[in-house]
Amino acid sequence: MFLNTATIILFIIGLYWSLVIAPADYQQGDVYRIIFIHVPAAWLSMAVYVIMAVAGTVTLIWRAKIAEIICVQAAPVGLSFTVIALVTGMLWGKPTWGTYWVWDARLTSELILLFLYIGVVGLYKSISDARSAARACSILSIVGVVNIPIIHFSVNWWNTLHQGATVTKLSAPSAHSSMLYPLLFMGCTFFIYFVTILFIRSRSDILKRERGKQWVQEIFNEF
Amino acid sequence: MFFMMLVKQDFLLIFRRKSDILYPLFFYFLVLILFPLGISADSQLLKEIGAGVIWIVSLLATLITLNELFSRDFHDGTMEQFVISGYSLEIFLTTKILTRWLTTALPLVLASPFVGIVFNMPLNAIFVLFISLILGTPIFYFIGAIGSSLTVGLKRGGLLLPSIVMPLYIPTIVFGSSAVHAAVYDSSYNGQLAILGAMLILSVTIAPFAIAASIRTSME
Repeated sequence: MFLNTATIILFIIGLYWSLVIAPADYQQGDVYRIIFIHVPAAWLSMAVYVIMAVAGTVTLIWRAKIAEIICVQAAPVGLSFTVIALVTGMLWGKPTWGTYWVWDARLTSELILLFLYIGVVGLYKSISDARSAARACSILSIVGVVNIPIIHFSVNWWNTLHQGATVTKLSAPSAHSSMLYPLLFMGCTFFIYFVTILFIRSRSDILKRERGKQWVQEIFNEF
Repeated sequence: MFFMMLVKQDFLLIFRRKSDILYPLFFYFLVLILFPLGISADSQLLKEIGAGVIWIVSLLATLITLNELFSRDFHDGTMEQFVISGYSLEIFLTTKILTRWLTTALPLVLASPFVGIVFNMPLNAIFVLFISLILGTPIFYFIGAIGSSLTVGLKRGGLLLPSIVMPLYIPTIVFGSSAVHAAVYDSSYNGQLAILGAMLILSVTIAPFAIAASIRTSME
């Protein structure tokens, strides 16, 4: 319950900060403000996949049910983050680059991430037993995690249209603080949002898995 | 000794159904013929797109055989016997993949020079095409086998397999066709071939563990 209110409050603060207080870009005007959604969504899409892969290794090695649940329930959330990152990127690209899409390294590898997520979600839904479905998804997420460094470093390795890393690099961030701080704040907000949604989904998954047990029956009998 | 016995058995099984070998080859030729007919027979255009088209059609031809890579053994109980036997499952699966590659993909690769001539590619590009396909088609099989082993127990797994496996194929396609494209336009292709070789080594060494783990998961 605390997480729900925290998420809503952080979103209100973050959006006000990024949309109203942060100054307009000298080159792009106000269009650049979509960065405050696009970049955190992209960060989260990669981070969630890594979380899935880590939970996947824990599932395979220790067969912990909680790790299975986290791995499987994080996937649709990560999928939506990837979709948001791609769509906001396309909407931003049209006024600034002149095109919705270009086949450069970062956009293509983010698109690959989208299909990896779709594969994991599809695989989970197609296996009937929840535990073996979770193990199969763990294997698939571990195999796919090799894409994440490719996405991140693609802007360094290839000559691309998408701009390079401004925050997650080894030297100081190259953005001005008035834009950097709202960006980082929105990043944290998105992360808290992810955790909230993950917990809500995990709660319902646990209830579904343990529905034969007595403690679940008691909860439902209360209604 | 054990390895040779497995290889011999797999060859026997595959050769019993020669259609398994011939259908992908026919598919390969038929689809490749569609491209000049459907797009344009302009020789400059064919030279431009030939690299990518041949690579994509090779991918599709191997993809259609991946579905029943493990399904016959899975459904008649051989796989189960092997899993509980205590012998190395990784080696068993690797031999299956290798024999399948030798019988199904190698004909495609050997036919690729002819296809290269049809697509109007210069001689050195045909050579690079051959090398890149020899490096790339085993990658398709090893990575595809990961998807194949994940979906082998499913009833409608055949539809899910391409969507699982396609994102993992994209780097191979990108580097493979870019190597041939570079050769067609007389630029350097060694970097792309080197990366293809690295991907081959990586997939041959690491994929069998993922495949064996997926088979064990599908068994449950």
